[in-house]
Amino acid sequence: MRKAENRDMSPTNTVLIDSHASATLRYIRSSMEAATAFAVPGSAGIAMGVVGFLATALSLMPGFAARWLSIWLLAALIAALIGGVLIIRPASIRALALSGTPVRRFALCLLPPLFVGAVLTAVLVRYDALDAIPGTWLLLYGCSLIAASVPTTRTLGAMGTSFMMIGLITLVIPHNMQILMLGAGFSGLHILFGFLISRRSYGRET
Amino acid sequence: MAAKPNLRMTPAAPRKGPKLTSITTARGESEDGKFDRLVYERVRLGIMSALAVREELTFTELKALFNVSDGNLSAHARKLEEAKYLVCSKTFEARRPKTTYRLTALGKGALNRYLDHVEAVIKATRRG
Repeated sequence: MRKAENRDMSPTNTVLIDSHASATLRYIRSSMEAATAFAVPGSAGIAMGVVGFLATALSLMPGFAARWLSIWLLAALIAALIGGVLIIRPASIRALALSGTPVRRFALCLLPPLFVGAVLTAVLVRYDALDAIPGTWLLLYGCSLIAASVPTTRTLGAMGTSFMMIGLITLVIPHNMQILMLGAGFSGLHILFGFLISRRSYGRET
Repeated sequence: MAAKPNLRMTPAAPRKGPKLTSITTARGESEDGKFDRLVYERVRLGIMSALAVREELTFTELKALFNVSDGNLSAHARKLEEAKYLVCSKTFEARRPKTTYRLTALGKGALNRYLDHVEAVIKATRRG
């Protein structure tokens, strides 16, 4: 009996109560985060990566090399459509976040850098600074993903950081290698992180 | 991909370890009077926390969010409703019944008091 009392009075129990209360706070926070989170399926990343791969392959063909900009603009449009459909497609828990605040937050984070990218592309084309376009795209897409990681998942932030690093390198390398970097980013990173997100989504978190 | 709240991370089983309700602060004041048992339960706490940041959530959304059975969720929601912490509205969408929950001002107050209580516990134990 005394032994039990002594144990109750020990500092270890104070720590237990403290950690118990901290766990409660963490649980409240995770519940709030889950309620406002927006789920991005990994399949969207993989599909967009496949489109990026096709665009890279086509841009590297001798007959199409001069039209790389048109090819990539078309690929961006197709990838955005496919990605959008896969994200909006109602599925299990994802349907949960498709109304109100989470979608609005996701769009508000993702779209502004993409809009800036579109404007800068037009400006760079106008001033014939085409070599700056691939790096700018990769950098701004990375910014967009980092911002979008706030209402979604940290994995998206890591993906955005990788895009930005590739973008910085792309800005200083010769043009013929820039297409490869576009491929490494929009194909390689999309597919890699798409798989990572899918694995996490269906394995544990969702 | 959105991380679901880890239910294992919830308030530990009250029967093991020291009871949160029976602790005293460094000043020796008992916290019993301020503690809301209704909010303490993990699913109910999760429901109230989720509704604190979303204007409304449907039964299906809450069920998916906390991975609980229909019966379990409706029992917890009913308790919160009876305490007037939640309001429930039932409608039909595409001929299917749709139950929506909202947190009331009373519910928000109860959640805030609970948060204050937990913070007080942390402060008290760290001072001690």
